[in-house]
Amino acid sequence: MLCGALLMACEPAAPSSSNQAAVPWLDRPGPEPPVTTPAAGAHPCRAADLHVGVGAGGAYRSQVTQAVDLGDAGADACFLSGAPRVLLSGTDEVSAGSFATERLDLVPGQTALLLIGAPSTCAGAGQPRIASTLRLVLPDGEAVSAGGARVDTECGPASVVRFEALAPPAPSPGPLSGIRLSISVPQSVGRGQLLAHTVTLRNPGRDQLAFSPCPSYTETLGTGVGPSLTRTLLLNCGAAGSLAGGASRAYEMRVAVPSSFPAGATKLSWKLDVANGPVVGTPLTVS
Amino acid sequence: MWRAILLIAVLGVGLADDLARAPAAGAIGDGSTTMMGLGFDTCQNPTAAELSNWWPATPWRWFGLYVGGVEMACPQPSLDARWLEDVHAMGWQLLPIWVGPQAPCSAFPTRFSSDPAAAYQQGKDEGASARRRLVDLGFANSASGTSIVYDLEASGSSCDDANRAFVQGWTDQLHTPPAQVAGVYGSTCGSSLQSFASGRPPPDFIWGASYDGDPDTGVMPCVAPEAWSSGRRHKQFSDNDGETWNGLTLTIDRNCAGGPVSPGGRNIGAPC
Repeated sequence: MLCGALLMACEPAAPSSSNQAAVPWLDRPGPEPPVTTPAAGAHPCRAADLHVGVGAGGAYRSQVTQAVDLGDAGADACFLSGAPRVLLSGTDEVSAGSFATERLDLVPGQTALLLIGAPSTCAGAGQPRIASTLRLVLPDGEAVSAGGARVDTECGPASVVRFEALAPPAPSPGPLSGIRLSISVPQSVGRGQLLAHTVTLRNPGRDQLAFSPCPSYTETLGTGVGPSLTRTLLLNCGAAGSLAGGASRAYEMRVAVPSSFPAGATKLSWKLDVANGPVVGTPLTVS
Repeated sequence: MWRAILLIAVLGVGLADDLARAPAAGAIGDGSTTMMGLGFDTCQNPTAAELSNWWPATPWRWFGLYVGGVEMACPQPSLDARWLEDVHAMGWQLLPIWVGPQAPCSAFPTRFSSDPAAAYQQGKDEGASARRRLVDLGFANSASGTSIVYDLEASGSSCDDANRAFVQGWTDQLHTPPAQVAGVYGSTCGSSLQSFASGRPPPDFIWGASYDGDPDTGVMPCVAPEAWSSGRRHKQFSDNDGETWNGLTLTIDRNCAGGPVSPGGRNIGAPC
C-alpha cells in the first residue's frame, strides 16, 4: 500500500503461484545451445592497442604483489604472445618463467592481469627496495611505462605470479536472462529410478516475459568424473507460454537415472539456454 | 492536498535513497555446514559463466571466495550480492577469505603492529570490517554463523606474539553476536598456525597450505594432529595448477575441505 501511494519503483507483488499446478514435464528435445568460441586475436597487441594501468598491491602466496592491468583499448581483438618483459627501476628484470610463452587473446575492452610478486619474508625485513616505475617491453620491442607501482625486492627478486585474461565484457543480456531460478530436489535418488523434481522460474520484473521462441534448457547429472547424463529439452511453453511480471511458476522435471550410474555424491545442474541464462543446481546422492 | 502530495513525494525520495543504500537483504543464507570434499581457489574469483561451466563438469564442490581486505592481491570486479546469489544458486558452497594487514615482521606494505595489545585491537577491527563486508554481500541474518578465514601469509617467528594477539582479536570480534565462524588461513609452518591453538579461544578452524600434493587434512606439517581435529580444518595441497574441465581452463589452487563452508543447508560431500 505504501509502495502504491508513493508511486515508487517497487518490485511488484508476486502474483501467487501457490494455486497453480506445476507445469507438466515435456519430453521434447531442444536445440543444443551454441558453443561460444572466444575470439582469437588477429594480430599481436601493439603499444597503441593497450591501456596499461597499475592496480592494487597485495599479499598472495607469501609474495608481496603488484597488479598491472593491460587492456585492449583498440577496435579489434589482439593477442599477447606471452607476459611482457618487465623492467624495474634500473636494470632489474622481473622473471616471467613459463608465463613468457603463455598466449592471451583479448577482445576490445578486455583486460589481462599481470601479477608481479616478490618474497615477503627475510631476515631483517624492513628495509624496502621499491621500484615505482615499470617498463613493459612487448614482443615487438615496443615499450610502455607505468608509474605509481610498488615492487619491493628487499627479500628477493620479483617474478610474474599470474598472467591471465580477465572476463571479457559481458554480452548483452537477453529478455529472459533476468529470470530467477530455484530448485527443489530430493537429497538422494536410486540408480535406475526417476529423479522427479521441480524448477521454479520467477520473473522479478514488472513486464510479462513471453517464451517466444520457446527456450530450451540443459540439465546435467554428474561431476565430470565418470559418466554423466546431459539432456537439452524444450520448456513446456504450450502449457505456460509466458510469465507475468512478478510471477513464479514451477515446472516439473524428470531425470531417468541409469541403473549403471555410479553410486555416491554427484551434482545436478539446470540451465535456461538463453543469452546469459540463469543456472541453478544442487548436490545430491545416487544410491 | 498539494502539501500532502509534496510531503509524500519528499518521504518517497528519502525512502528510495535508504533502499538504494541498504545492503542486499539475505541474498544467500546464513550459517555454515561441514564440508568434506574438493574445492579450489583462484586469485581472482571466477566469473558466473565460468562457475556455471564448472559446476556440472568438475568434482569441485566449493571455492575460496576473496571478499576483501587491504592486502587482497587481485581485483574482484564480479563480486557483489547478485553475483554471490547466482553462484550459490548454481550449487556452490563458499569459504570467504579476508586479506587484511600482514605480520609486522614481513615485507608487506600494510602490517599490523608489533605491539601485541595494538595488534589485538587491529585484529578486532579487521573482524568488524569483514563482518560488514559479509552483510553487504547478502549473507542473511547479519552473516550469523557464516564461516570466514583471515589470510595470514607466512612470516618470521620473531613476530609470533603479535601474530597470536592479532588472530585472537580477529577471533574474539567474530565471536561477538551475531557470531561468525572464525578461521585462519596460512602456511602450515610459515604462518605458525600451531601457535594459534593456544588461543583462548582458538580460531574455530584452520585452512593450512602445504603443497605436498596430499589432500589428507590430517597431514599438516607443523600442526599437531589433535589441533583442530574433527571437522575443523581444510588443506590447500597444491598450487598454481592449470585445470581444464568442459573446455575451460582456470589456474587454481587445490583444496580439500574437512571443515566449515557457507552457507548452511544441504551438504553432500565426497572424499577428496
